[in-house]
Amino acid sequence: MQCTEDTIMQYTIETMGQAFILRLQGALDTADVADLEQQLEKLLDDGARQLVVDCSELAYVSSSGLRVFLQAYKRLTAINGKLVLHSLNRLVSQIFETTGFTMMFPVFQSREEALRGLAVTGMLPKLRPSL
Amino acid sequence: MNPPSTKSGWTQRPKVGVVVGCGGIKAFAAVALFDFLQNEGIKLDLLVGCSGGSLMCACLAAGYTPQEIRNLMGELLDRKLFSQVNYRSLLGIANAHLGRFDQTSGVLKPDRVKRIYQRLFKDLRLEDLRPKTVLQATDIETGEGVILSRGSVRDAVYASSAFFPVFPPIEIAGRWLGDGVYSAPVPVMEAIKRNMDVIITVDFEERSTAAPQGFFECFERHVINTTRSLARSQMFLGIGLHHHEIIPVHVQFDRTINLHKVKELPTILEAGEQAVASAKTAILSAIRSFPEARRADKLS
Repeated sequence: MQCTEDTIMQYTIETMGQAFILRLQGALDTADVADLEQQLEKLLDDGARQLVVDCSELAYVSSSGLRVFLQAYKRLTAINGKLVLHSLNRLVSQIFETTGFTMMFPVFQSREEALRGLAVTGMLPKLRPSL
Repeated sequence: MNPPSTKSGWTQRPKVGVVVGCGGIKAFAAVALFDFLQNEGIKLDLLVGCSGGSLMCACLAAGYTPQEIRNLMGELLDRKLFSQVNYRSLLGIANAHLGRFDQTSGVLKPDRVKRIYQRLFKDLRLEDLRPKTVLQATDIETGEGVILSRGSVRDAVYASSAFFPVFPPIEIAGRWLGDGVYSAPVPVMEAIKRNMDVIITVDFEERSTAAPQGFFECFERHVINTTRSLARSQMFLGIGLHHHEIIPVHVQFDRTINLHKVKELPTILEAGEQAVASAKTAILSAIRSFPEARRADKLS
């Protein structure tokens, strides 16, 4: 599985209760980060505190894309908010693993699990072993 | 992909750095990346190597072509390199009265390995290498990471890859230096500190389900597992600090490939080619998108 040039990034935002669902489609890299970053900034400025990133159609994420998640994560945790991700494909999952992002970000298998993860303070995702 | 300059003085070409991490003989897979970069005409500004990755980086920067590196490794790497046991050290591990083992010792004698580095690099110095090349080592006494950027290439490559306590460390400028794997297995931070815009990292993963057998396999597996965590922490920090793109070329193996398995070179190269094929679009995209990203940064 590899990043291909024809996977232009698109995204939609919907709400589910208090949670905002950001659904990403295509490849997230330098070309798209500025726009997504702006949208997330606006979302957080408008009061979003719980963010679920649906990666089921995210084909690839580059390091600049990961930084967007990191920025949002930093802003949200500073105000007791939460950011969780779910449904990463094999490639994106591998990227998260090799770049250490699974150490910090709660990653879940499905949207339902991610929403439950938001509700439980300190809940750790299945990918990270804990004692 | 040569550097078109603009009137404002900044170059549209990103500074490109390649970081080849530890992996023993598996680092040979980096040749596939060198091939790709050469074929695409991508000029490198920095090479950072650790352990086996240091040997690959130093060879390229010393002027060997990817094809020559292929031929040399096939010719020079021999199982016998890893069979010269230092019995005094070995006895010293078993019983302090029978032999001697301290932080300057190694279970294997390094003479044959050092002879290969002598043949490859002769009296070349790190300062002479092009592109600029720096190698990660570890101070065995303090555990501190040491970046070697000056001095003998052969000593630096040996220091960076001296997998203590299998091989003895080497004294350079009053410090006993050993394998960089213990301080920065994939030294991405060095490329960030040196202001590279596009950083391509090469790391290696074995997916072995078989339990390790014997002292050395157990020890090697333990080091691989613990340093993987270290590499991920450093990569995470690096991505947070960096300004453009870091592209990991993740070379995977479905079995363990130990240091001495020189017959696996074709398999290693094939794994490298597969990993590069997966990453090439991302590499080209990071380079092509740099001018626009730079303009956007300036505007914001």
